[in-house]
Amino acid sequence: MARSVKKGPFVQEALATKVQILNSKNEKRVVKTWSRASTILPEFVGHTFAVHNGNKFVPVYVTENMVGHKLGEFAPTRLFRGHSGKIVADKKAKPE
Amino acid sequence: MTAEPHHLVVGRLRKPHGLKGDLTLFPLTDDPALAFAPGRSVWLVGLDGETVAGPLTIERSRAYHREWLLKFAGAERREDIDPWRGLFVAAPAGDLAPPADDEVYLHELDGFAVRLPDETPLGLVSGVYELPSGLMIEVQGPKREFLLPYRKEFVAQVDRAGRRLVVTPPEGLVE
Repeated sequence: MARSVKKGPFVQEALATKVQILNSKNEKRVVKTWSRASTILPEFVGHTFAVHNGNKFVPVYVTENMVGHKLGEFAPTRLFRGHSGKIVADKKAKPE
Repeated sequence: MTAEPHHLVVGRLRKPHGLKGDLTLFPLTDDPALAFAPGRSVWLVGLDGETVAGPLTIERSRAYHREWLLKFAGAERREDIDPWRGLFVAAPAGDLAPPADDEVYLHELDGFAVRLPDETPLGLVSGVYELPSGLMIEVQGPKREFLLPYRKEFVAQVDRAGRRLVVTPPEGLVE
């Protein structure tokens, strides 16, 4: 069942406060969090969160299209390390 | 600089589709329309990198949902192609589009030197991950490793020939 609209989206209070403080000072620094269930609010856009995946902190740079999703969706708990070194795929990377 | 491989993997065969020799293929290339164009020659390789069959000529191809449907010349029956399930399709590197100025092949990123704009070394790239939020590189520093999103906000310069990246990590990421 979906969460009641009356309550609004869930965000850990400490996390929302931290972002509020950063926004008021116009600062950008990594915010460490274990709260994977927190919803990404529009105020989070442009910030980088280090979201714990049970093993380490995964940096998540928040963009506009992530709003409404949970932080945990972007920090998978299992990392696929790829095929053997002999399989070399035609995949290119460009910083975008 | 490491030697350029002769062949690059462009997809992985999944299973026969229908009775007329078509195969479903999951693309592992940025430009599947070019890689799977009819008339091109490709090779089938196993997970160990050994060539299993080829050269095979692509007779027809088309996009099919998130995958592609391929038909190789001479493979008319389902029985002919059934043993090819799970094999990788490789194409000569020269037939594929080369990387643009600020592009690198994902497999090349391993071992790139990572530096700050003031030339302070941070470490070497030890892993590349495709995550829901985008590409992520793992940098092995002198003390510990850290992850860095491969985005223009954090990767200022890519020097493919010199095998190095100039990065601007956000405050608090590198401790």
